[in-house]
Amino acid sequence: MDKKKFEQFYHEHLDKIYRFVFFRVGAKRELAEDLTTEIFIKALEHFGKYDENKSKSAWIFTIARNHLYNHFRDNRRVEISLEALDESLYIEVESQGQDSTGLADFLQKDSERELWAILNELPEDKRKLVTLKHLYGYSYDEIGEMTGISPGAAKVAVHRVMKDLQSKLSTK
Amino acid sequence: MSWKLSYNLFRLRQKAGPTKQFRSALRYKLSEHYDSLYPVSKAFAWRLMVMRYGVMAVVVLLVAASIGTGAYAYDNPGVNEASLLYPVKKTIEKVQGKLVQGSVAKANFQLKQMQRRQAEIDRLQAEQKQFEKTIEEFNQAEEAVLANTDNVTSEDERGIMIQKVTEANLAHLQKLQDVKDELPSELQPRLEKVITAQSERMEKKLDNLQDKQDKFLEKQLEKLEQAEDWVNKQQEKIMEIKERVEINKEEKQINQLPANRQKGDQGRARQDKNKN
Repeated sequence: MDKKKFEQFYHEHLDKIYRFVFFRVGAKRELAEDLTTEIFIKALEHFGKYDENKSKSAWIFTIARNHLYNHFRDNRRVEISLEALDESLYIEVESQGQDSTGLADFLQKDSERELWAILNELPEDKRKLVTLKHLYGYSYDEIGEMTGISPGAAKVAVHRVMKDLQSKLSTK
Repeated sequence: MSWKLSYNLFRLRQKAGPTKQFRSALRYKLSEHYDSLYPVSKAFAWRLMVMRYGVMAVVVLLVAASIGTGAYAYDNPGVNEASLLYPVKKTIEKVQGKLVQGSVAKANFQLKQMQRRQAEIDRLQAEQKQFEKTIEEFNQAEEAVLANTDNVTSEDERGIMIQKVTEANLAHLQKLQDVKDELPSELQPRLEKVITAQSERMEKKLDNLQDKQDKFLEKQLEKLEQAEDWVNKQQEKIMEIKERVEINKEEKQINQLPANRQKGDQGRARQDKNKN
């Protein structure tokens, strides 16, 4: 296995996977870091099975999703299904000790809270598109691969959702 | 598309991203894990031997270079906390401090340290001024672009220019963030203030741009409606003229007929006109 190739893979996917995990662990940075570390160690151990031509991002995304699901199941912090893991924009996680909710710390401005509320009101399929593009930072090619549509269709769909978001923000 | 919405989503994305410290720490951890999973086999040991001698040669060259580097680091007030060579500078000073004997010599050494720190502070302040001046020049250039954009009448071209300005601002904020992450923790708050000020400035700009864009679009819509009204009126006039031409044609034809037929045709023509 080529170390340099894995390093390149790591640089390409770290930010997106980290953000995916971050929002699903109640915006708790330490927990997100621990889980992201575990995910990439798993990816490293199975990198021999990775075929760039078959899936650019879906492979590590699946590892991340399954790892999160196992974490929730094993720690019994939150009862959650695999589908809910996909569909939710954010999952609140109970914390021990004096932590306030991670989301309260994360959303500090009114404009951010407003935007967050409206994102959560969107239908799941629309929210997924805008989240993949604008919150995680995936390209249209990658979004197309992960959602089973063409990059062109992904671009148009994201554009429509953004217009929808904008009109909801304007009416508030 | 709303630039303010894109900007707010960009901010959330930035905040939800991994820190640079975590990034480097994880990279190191993965590298170690890789080495533990795939240790170098004996078959390649001879290559390592060759590499070792090569590495030794490189180390000798590096030591020779570091002597020059050390001298550069020691003498240069530009080598400060934010510089990669600062640890080299501090190490040399530490060693020097230990070699100095006697109270007078030590006092003179400490005085020299004070002068060196002051020179670094002066240099930092000059760099800070240069940095602030460069930020100011960036902001002035942006104002100039937006002032010129106001004069662009094509809505599409105007929208493209504003999009480019927004993207330049986002790249600028990202760059400031990257620079801040590289700084030692004591220096980060200063740059954080600059980043906050630039972000707030950009938000206000986006609000103004959105208002201006809305007003611009309203004006364009008004002009379009006026143009449509004018076209409708012209079409009505054309219809009227056409009708008159048709009637005149018929009357001409009637006038060319023999007299008894004229009366009948004129009467029928009037009846048809009254019906219509």
